[in-house]
Amino acid sequence: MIDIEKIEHLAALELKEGEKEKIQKDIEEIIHYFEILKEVDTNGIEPYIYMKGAHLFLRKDQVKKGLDREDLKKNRILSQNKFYKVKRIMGE
Amino acid sequence: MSEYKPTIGLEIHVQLATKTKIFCSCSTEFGDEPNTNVCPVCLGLPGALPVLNEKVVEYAVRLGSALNMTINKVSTFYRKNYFYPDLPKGYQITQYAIPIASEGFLEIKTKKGKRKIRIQRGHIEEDAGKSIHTGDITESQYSYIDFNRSGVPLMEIVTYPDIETAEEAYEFLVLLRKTVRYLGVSSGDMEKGALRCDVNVSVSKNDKIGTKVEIKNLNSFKSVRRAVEYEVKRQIDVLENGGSVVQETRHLNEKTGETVAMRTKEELNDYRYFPEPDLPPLILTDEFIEKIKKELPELPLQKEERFIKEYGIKEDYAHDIASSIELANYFEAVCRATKKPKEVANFLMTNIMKYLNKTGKQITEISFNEKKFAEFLSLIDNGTISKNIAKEVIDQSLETGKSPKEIVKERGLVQITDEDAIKEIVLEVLKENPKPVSQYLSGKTQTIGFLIGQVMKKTKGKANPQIVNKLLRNALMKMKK
Repeated sequence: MIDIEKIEHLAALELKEGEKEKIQKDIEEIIHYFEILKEVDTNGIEPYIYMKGAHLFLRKDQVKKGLDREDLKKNRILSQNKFYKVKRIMGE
Repeated sequence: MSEYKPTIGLEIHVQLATKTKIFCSCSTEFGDEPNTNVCPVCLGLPGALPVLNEKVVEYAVRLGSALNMTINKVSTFYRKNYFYPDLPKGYQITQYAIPIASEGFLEIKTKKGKRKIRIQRGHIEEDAGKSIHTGDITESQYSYIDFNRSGVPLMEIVTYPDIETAEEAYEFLVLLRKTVRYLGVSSGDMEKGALRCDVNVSVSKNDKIGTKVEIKNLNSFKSVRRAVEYEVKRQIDVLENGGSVVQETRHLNEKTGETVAMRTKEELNDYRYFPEPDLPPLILTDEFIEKIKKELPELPLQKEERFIKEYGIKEDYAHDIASSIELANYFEAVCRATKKPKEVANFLMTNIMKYLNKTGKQITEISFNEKKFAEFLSLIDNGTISKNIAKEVIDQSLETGKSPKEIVKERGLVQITDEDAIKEIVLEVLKENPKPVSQYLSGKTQTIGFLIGQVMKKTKGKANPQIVNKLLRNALMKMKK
């Protein structure tokens, strides 16, 4: 059984009463697939996390100009001219 | 009442002093206009991909090596998931399963002697943005976010709970800051957020470690000490009154010096770490690691010990000089030029330090270089100026930027060693002070100090004190007969 309330909290969602049961059922079904996969014996097999042969690129430490603040403003990404405006973060 | 033993561990975020952010080419400059150093990567815009900064890797390996840690040839990146407005992607890229460095130690000096504080891990990660609140935090309807800091590289250093007192926690932090500055991997400026510290504290009467309380976001050395002191006392009080310590996160109230519990609602710590699919493992070669290890500079404690041994200077002078790499470099440059380490240390820690404190200047900004220092010391050595006058000369030279010789010439500070000239003044002083003279003659010989003082006063401190002493005694001797 999954704890739908916990998932709701972690995903920062507010579910309505009817949605809760439906989503709970959906997630449980999804997780059930993993139960099926568990039947495969993976002993001694290294977890496959990254693409085979994938290679980490490193960047030189050289400054490049990013996005222009005027453009951010134009696209309404920025408010108050300088800052991103968000709902008040609760203090301690 | 048996003794409670505090157990303290630190988690320290060190901002690495790169020019650009950890996963994008935006500048890390402190104090720029809000949201001017941002791009799709550090704003978490859809589709943007992180590319690791090679300098971050170099600095992390350097710091890890200096902290005697094992550098892991393979380390992996993870996503740490949580929602907060200053974290635009909804996750922080950090290292989890295998950090870049693990298992090391830093040896600190305490009143009880040297102590090894073990370090568990050091991992690289990105910083979050900065939230700004206008007006009263409880009244303002909005918070404002500046993402210039989002993506700034950090190395998090996690110690084992080997620390037992607030003093040790303080010493550890101070030494860590000196170390990062020596290495040039971080500014270590706490007030600019380049060094931030979380503290874990528990107390126990026996070997079983007590319930741990975390105090977050301490942003000065003083706060760390205060928070630990307060928290240890608080926990002992709770236990002594039959209560039990609650595992929680607390904050230090800077005004009262008390720690206060944070709201517990957001406390649900479930970060659901999973491997970052956009960044394959970081693989380092032996050559790369060895090269960095070989290039490590001498570290603060080594330098301090060498100063005592090599130059024979006092332990506390060695400690203070080695506390800053610039000061240490200056000291050694002057020692090379003068071959007089004790005198150099003396004047450096008195007159020069006083001048630096007064003006707020750095040692690298003063014009009193090794050449002037050498000239200055030779003026004392060859008897041109007395030790007393020397202080005036060095102060004036620091103040005006003129050379010591110029100062001496301008102000007529040359020491009077001409015995005839001094003798004349001695006789004058004896005539003007019949009372101390008769006191001396009747056996109260300590009045000679007063008489010497009078001669020095008349010569404005320029008379050679040994000669004054000798001539005074001679003259008084004659009067006795």
